[in-house]
Amino acid sequence: MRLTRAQRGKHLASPGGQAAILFTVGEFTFAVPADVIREIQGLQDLRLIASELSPIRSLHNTPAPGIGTLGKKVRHTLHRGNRLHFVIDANYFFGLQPSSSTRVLIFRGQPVGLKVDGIERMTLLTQTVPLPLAFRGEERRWYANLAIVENRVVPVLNTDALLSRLEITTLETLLARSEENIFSAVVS
Amino acid sequence: MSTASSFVLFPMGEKHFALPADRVTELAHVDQPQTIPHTTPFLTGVLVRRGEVIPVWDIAPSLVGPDAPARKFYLIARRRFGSAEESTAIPVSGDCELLNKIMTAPVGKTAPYVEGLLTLENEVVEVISLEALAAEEAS
Repeated sequence: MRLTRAQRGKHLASPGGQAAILFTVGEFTFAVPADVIREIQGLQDLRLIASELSPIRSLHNTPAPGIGTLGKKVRHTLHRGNRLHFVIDANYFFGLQPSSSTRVLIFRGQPVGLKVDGIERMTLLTQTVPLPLAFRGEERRWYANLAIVENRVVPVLNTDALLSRLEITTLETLLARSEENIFSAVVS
Repeated sequence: MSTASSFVLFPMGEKHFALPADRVTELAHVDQPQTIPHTTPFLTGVLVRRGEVIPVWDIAPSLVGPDAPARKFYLIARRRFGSAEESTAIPVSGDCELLNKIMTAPVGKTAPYVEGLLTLENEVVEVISLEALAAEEAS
């Protein structure tokens, strides 16, 4: 699913609310502003980051070696055109039990994707409130705010929290090094 | 502490506890709270009340231990965060009661979250400081 050129050109916030995509992870529904999403994809083009970092030794679906917890958070990459996206497992990110992912949200302006269970629908967020101060854990970074959608509380994803600049640089450096290693192995 | 003040007395199993009445806004019997993923201990969900999202803070395990009885109602109280204040829903196990009493200073060994004591006919009731309780849970 690709957002149309007309949709992309417009800022999707309006006086009536902010356009958002509702997506699910496990039993939970989340919202993400529609204008930060470039594309929504199936899982067919995902590649294990472990196999890209260590193509010969990699085992199926194991975390990438040498990058610690970042390898649990980012298990896949997705190539779209000439752009590489690091795909975050939403279950790991939110500390949820594994569930059945079927879609990847690809973000605009950052090389990041988010693997989620499914897309519920698009909606207008007309009522949002700050995360109550009583919440003082990781959720303060995860959520931009909370939306009330048909009397349901739906956290709105803070996309800045997905991958830091440092994490992106680390992953890009490791991939570049891995490509150099493969090249020198082939040449020698 | 020599003049009587209003307190809301709430049951938690066999025991009762109290909050200053000016901190309590409502007693609500509501549906199951909704949950959102989070990592803050003792918050069990959120309620939506008149357009406000109210965190549900289960203080029973801290007050009476793991065998706390089923909670039936929510006491909606105001909790302070520095200069800010927000509503918190506290699950309680039965009906609450408003009473006018003189609060006395804690005596003997009491938990740090006990702000004072109310002496009733058959029970000495601890008045809870929500901020001190939160600080203790966080530590």
